[in-house]
Amino acid sequence: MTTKEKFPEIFNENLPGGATNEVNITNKRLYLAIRHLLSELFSIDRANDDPGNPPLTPDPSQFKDYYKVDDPNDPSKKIPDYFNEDKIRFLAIIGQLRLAGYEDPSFARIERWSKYLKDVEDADIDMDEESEFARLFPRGSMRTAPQPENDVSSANIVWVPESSRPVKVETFGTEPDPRGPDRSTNPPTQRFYHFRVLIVAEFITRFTEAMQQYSAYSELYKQVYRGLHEHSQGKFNGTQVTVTISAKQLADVTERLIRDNVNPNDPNIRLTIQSVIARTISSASGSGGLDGNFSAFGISLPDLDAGTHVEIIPDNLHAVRVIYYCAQLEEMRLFATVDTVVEHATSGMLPISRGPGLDRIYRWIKRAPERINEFERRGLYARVLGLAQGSVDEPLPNREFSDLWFRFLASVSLKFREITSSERSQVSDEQIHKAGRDLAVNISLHGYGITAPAAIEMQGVVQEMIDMLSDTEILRSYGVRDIWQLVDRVSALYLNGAANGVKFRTMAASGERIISWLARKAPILSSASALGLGITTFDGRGNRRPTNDFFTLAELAERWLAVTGTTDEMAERHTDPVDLDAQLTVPMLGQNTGFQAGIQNTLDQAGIELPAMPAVPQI
Amino acid sequence: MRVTTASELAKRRMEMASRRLGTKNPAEAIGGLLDRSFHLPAHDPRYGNNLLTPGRFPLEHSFSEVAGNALRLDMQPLGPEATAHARQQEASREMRRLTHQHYGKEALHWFDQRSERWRNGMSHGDTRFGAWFGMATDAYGLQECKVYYEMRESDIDNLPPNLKHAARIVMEIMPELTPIFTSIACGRGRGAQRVYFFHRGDLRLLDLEPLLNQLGIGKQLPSLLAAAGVIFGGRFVLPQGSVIIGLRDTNKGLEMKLDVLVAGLPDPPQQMYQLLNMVLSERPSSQSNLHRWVQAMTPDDMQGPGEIGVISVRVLPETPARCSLYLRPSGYDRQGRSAAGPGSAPQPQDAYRV
Repeated sequence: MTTKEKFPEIFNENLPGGATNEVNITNKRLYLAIRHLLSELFSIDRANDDPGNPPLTPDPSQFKDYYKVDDPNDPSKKIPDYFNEDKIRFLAIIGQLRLAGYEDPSFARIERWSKYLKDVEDADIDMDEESEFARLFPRGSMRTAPQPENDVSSANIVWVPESSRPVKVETFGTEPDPRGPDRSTNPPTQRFYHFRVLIVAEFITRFTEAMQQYSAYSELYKQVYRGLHEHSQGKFNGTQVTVTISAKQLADVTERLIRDNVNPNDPNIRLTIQSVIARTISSASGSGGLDGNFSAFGISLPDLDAGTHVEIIPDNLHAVRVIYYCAQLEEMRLFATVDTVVEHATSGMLPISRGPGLDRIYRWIKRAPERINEFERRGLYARVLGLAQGSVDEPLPNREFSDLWFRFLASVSLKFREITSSERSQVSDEQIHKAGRDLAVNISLHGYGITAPAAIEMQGVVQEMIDMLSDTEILRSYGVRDIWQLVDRVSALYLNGAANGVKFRTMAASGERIISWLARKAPILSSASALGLGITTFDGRGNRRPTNDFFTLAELAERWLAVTGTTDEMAERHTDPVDLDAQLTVPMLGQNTGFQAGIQNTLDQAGIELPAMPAVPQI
Repeated sequence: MRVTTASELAKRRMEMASRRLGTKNPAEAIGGLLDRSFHLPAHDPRYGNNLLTPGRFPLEHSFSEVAGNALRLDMQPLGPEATAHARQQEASREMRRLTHQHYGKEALHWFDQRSERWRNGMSHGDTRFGAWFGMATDAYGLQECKVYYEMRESDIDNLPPNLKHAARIVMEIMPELTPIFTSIACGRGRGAQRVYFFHRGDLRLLDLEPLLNQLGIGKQLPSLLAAAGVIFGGRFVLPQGSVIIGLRDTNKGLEMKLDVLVAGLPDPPQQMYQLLNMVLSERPSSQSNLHRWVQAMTPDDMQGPGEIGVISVRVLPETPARCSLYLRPSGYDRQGRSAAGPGSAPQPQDAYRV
């Protein structure tokens, strides 16, 4: 029996919808971009000198089984080649790009749905021959001809094919048309669009750096790949069956080894690699302290109700999502409850004996010095969510978050109600797009810096707290049945009154999912049009109805508004779009500090005017 | 052509007033807040959409007998489109910054304790204005800074014990009173919190007697009636929508403040300022402070400092009635197309002024 290899960051067959799943579509864009750049910029193709393997196809689901010729005299006799260099190189580059947050080759910069864009399309596109696009890419086709003319300096064009070169035309397949179904037919039919990949200059630069790094440390990458292969193999009756390898982990582990100056020929290299892999896994789970490379891992928050680029950086949004979630738990007094319970246990007031609950409490106490503390957390809430907490000298509090958040939710709620009624529409798709974009840009701006690693740590802390407070013995000692009853009881008895747990839980759960939606829609929100948002669709009788995606979003928004007691009148008042004076996408150093204000006042008094500087975003 | 923002106008006016009064310029301390709050052009009608001074520019200056040498202001933070929650956070942020900067860590801690309920990640969905910000400067710097938080009846539980107890008594004696907002102020020596009630229905001033007796300030009723009677032209029954009652716990006992919204009076006396002067004539230093304040607040190209928005009378167990005047400053709102237009049109006083 041979081992099957799986690379979920290239194609994840377990996702619903398979190739049409949004995650797989995003993965496919990255896959095609790297495949194309390897071929165009470095003339690396799997077909070259590799009789065991055909060239990589545009279909990422085919990227799995590599073979090598076992007998040179019989090229048809092949055996699996698990450590094929082309494969490892490809994965190393994907991993490095993902690790650096370059998951979208278009960098969400240009609207992918418009015609005449300077991007890569498949062969059958109907393109205006007179357009600039057609001049550079006749028939919108992608070429595999070698030695292209590289020109990364100009706009988003990366290579300019010459008409005299041989052209090989390929088809990438299709993707659902963001404009929705064709309404001219009855019933409306789903339209599909030529799959397109836009590669911007910044992506090329990062790609080249990844390639350079791989070339410099290729032996180390191969060793790490071997280590991961052995570490993750599944066995059935002693036989290897499947191996799932994360490209991001490959890049992360190798980068750590590079940082530690590990020699690939070290006799203990395998042990070293195993140790680093173990460290990365423990830090990802939030239980291993602060050693991890936090950027390498995704974020998955616990369900509270269980058991009872460019302008918008999705990673920043995911980090803020966690901060938002934790802020609500803070208001709910979950953190304070844990402190109280630990205090009771320390002073011997808690009637629990040796067991997992006590172990968790002890571990909590021992790790306290390295854990993010309340002051730091509140500083984050101020910086990221604009709450008036933490340091009074916070240089960049997110003053706009509250307004933009409410405006977006109110717009979504009103739009949803309008779609499902016969009332005249007051909120357009573009208004939703603008409100979402403003919010996402704002969140992205305040998600830079320490936010992401802090979010990863806080995610682990929350999980640890929930595990601790869910311990049966601890619950029993307070005479409650679940963690939320415990929070209520401890708050009421020791923390000057209980908070509304249901409200904060709902706000936490719906709020983080709304931010997650924004992160998923980042490329579309970054574009100039609301076409890709997919707000409405048509049923079999030609009636307008919300798409499933928008339905879910609207439900979350409605839930948030309902639980905060927002009246319809109040929501309607905040649906009108607001023209923002400034909308920064990157933090400005030295802005809004007391030092600067002091200088400005002095200059004002002296009547000296300085040239205008970019300001911190204002509403 | 470059458009003058309301913030620039406000800063100029504050600088002028502070120079005349001999106080520190408030704009030096809250320049950023003014920029963020009044970023729209001066005279923009959208400013009228506020609950501090409905229909007018959301900035109010006040004169208080007990702080006669101070330049005091109250304002609605952030622009007219801001949400109530954003205002709560902005006012709190500014208050914390100033408190820490001028009064130190202990004062900040005190404020944080009192304001915790309003500084968290949520506000009630039906909150209307959220918060206002206020401050006062004198010759030595920041005399006081203050935040007004909108509150609901259930928020009474978040008040400090003495004030909570007093609030409950007040609401029991006069069920027409509904808590609407609370102010938390930090000064050089101490902080103070006040809770404000809106009075539904007409208020006969004499009906305050049981309330004042219960609060231990019954003996000041005559002085309260005398002052209010004169200032409001003999009116002892105040109509619905014109009365706000404030309570504050001080080290000299409970203080009651009667705020009368002049816009709520059907026929406010046109000579209200002169009547107030008449009351203050008993206390010449207060009267001269008021004159000085009025002169300081009057821009060169205006006939007067503005319109009276609120008249307040406050009493303490051992202190008879003291008055305050809240002014809607002139020059911020558009008065008409020409000097001859409706309203108190600006008329240059200085012949050499361009």
